[in-house]
Amino acid sequence: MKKDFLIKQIASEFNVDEIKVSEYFDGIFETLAAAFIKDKNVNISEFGKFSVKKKTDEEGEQKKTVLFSPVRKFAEDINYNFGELKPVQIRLLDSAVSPEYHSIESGEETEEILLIDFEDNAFSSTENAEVLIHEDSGPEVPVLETEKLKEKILIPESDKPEIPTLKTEERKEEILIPEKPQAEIYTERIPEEINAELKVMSDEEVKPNNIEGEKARIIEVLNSVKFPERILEFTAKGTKEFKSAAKTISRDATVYIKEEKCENKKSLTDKIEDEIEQLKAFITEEIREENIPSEETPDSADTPEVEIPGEPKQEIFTEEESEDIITVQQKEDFPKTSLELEAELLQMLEERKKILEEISRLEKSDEDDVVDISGPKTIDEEEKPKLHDESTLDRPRQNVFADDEGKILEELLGLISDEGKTDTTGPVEIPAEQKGITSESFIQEEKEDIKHEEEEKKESESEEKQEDIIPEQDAGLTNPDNVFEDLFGKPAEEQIVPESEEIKVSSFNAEMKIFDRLLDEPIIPSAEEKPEKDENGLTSFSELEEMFRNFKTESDEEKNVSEKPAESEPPEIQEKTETIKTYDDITNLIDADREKKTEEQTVEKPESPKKKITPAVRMTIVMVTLLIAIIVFVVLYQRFVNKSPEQNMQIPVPHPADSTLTKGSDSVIYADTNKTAVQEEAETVFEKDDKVIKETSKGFYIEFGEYDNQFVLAKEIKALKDKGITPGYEEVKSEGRTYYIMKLGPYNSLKEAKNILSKL
Amino acid sequence: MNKKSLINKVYIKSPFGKEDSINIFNRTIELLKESITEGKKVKIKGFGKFTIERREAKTVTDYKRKAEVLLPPKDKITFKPSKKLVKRINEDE
Repeated sequence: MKKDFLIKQIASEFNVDEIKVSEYFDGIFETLAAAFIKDKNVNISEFGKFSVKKKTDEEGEQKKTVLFSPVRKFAEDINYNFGELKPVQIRLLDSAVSPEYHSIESGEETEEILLIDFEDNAFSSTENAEVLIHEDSGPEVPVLETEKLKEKILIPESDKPEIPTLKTEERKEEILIPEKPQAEIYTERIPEEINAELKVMSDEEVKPNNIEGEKARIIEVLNSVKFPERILEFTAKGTKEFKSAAKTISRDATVYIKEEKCENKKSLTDKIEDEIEQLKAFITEEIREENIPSEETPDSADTPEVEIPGEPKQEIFTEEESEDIITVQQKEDFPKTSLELEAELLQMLEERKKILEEISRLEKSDEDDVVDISGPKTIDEEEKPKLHDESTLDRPRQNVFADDEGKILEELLGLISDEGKTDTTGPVEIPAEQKGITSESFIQEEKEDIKHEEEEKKESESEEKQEDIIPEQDAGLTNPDNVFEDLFGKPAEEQIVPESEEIKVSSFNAEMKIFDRLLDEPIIPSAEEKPEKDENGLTSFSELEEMFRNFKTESDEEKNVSEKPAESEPPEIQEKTETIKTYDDITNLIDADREKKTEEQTVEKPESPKKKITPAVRMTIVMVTLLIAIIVFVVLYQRFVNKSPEQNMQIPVPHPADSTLTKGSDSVIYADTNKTAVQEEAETVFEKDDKVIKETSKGFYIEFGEYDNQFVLAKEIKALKDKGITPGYEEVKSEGRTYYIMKLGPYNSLKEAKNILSKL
Repeated sequence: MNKKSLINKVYIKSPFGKEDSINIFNRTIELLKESITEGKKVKIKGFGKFTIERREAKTVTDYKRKAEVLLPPKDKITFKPSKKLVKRINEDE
């Protein structure tokens, strides 16, 4: 194929002139040649790489030549006849053969050659592979045999079967027929060492066909992890690390399978799964034997049950772990939640009740009814903490606290009402301290009370020793009431404040009832109670108070903030001690001043609608002022800053440097410079083919061409530079159109200009 | 030099637009490849000649494996630069 044929075909495909295509072709190969001259390597993708290298000729001189190395795909396309053939190993060199082998066969110096039957494709199977030949006739043998091998390999695939020579045929007979006495022929298996080497050398045999080898590797991987040993350690710690260990094993195994690219993946994966399951079963048995605490064992026992062999393992582990992490974090971050404290408090109450029952049984046989009532209710209270644990995860804490508190209070009220039937008598007398109670003042007052109580304790203890058991009865019966007051009195009193809208209505109504009943019931001083409880082995009230202070939530703190302005009010309430008997009275007292304030506000509000109109008016005023400001600014700007064109001074534009003087730089475009600012008058001296020579004070200039586009101009400039001329250009604006004129010069004489014009 | 830069350099001198010049360039290379793989000799005046040569099968000693290896035959592409081009390359020195 020649160049013309290429040009014709492309011109016909693209509907282009042949001349242009030929120009294009010349451009391609000229640029390539120019690159080779500069010792540049040219890399054309999907075709190949041209590289310039030095080589020595036959004469011995060094000369540069161009080499071409095709892309792999292109080379494979070219070599489609012999692409399937691969290089074959014929024989080992002498150094590879073991010295023992020489000594066994013959003491003499001989050449030993390994022949291989290629007809059976026997590299893979070792039994038929090797026939050893021992001959006395020396160095000619290997050459002939290699030729013979060529035929046997290449005949089935190559198109050109070479006709075997007569010598080789004779040679065949000599070798293969054992009857001839000239050559001592024997067949024997190669020793195992050489066999192993052969296996390593041939690439095809490196791939393991056996599953057993892979099995062994997998077992190595599993052993390297030391799964059982680790898990024996982890059983004490928990289920989390057990899972992480199992995860690592499965990950290693999967990575191994991917890297090795086993042919039979399914069998391997099944085996690995079986092994892991066996290990897990082994571990679970050990866990049961060791008697790990009841909270952790069920999780560990669940894991083998959940894992179905068909499903992927890692996902299961991650899901389980995530759940565990959530639960653990909740326990760690909030070690003492309100619910736990509730549960503790309820346990304390139960213990007290039991003690009370025992005491009552021993001393008052008539009051068996109390025991019957408290019996079933203890069971109810035992069930409730479990319900709290389940419900906490779903609900927010504050609301849960409010709801559950209401229930607990109702239950406690039930106790109080049953017990209080005997006791609820007499008028209501509330001490002044409890009436004006706020949370902060209450705490301060309590601290003072505790100090007084401690002083009183010492006195009371001394009295109790004298009075024996009798005061314990009264204290024991009154305990639940006092407990209720000390434990739940505070939140009940804090929730008096009507501002707290966060509290739900259900709890609110319950607490209302409780508070009303509290006010109706008599209060017994607490000084006598505390020592008795210490004697019974229970926690003192001071500890319970501390517990309860931790029991506060954020909502309580907010309430305290809201109550601060109301602290000034309690002294007024203390004066009106007689009137307060219900919850409504307190609320009315607190709200009394606020209603006044609200009334004042409501009086002021009717005046506000007049002001409500003002914003619209204000907006309009602001807009108008802004408009005026803008207009003033514009007027001032026009007067002072942006002077009229008549007043503007004509600033002389600096004359740009001549582009013709620049040398070396490729593309010089003075797009920014305003060349048209100053133009000298020029006279045309000479004209030829739209090319003009003009004379100025500086010298002679050649001008030619009109280019609308700068890129076309740049192309032309480069073409001229290849000829050795460095042109400049001039920007011309006329009738709203800008175009560029090529400009050469300045030249001192007209002759110079004409010489250069002839070259263009 | 890269294929992209080569196309740009050719485009500056060419009479075609950029899209046409790229398409023509790619098409010429395709035609060259087709004609070479068919076994035709491609001769470009002033540049060189692409031919296919067949290397026959031969034995080679592989010293890493310590063995003799028989290589199958192979068809290879060879580029022989023209005398003009060799002259131009060696003139500048």
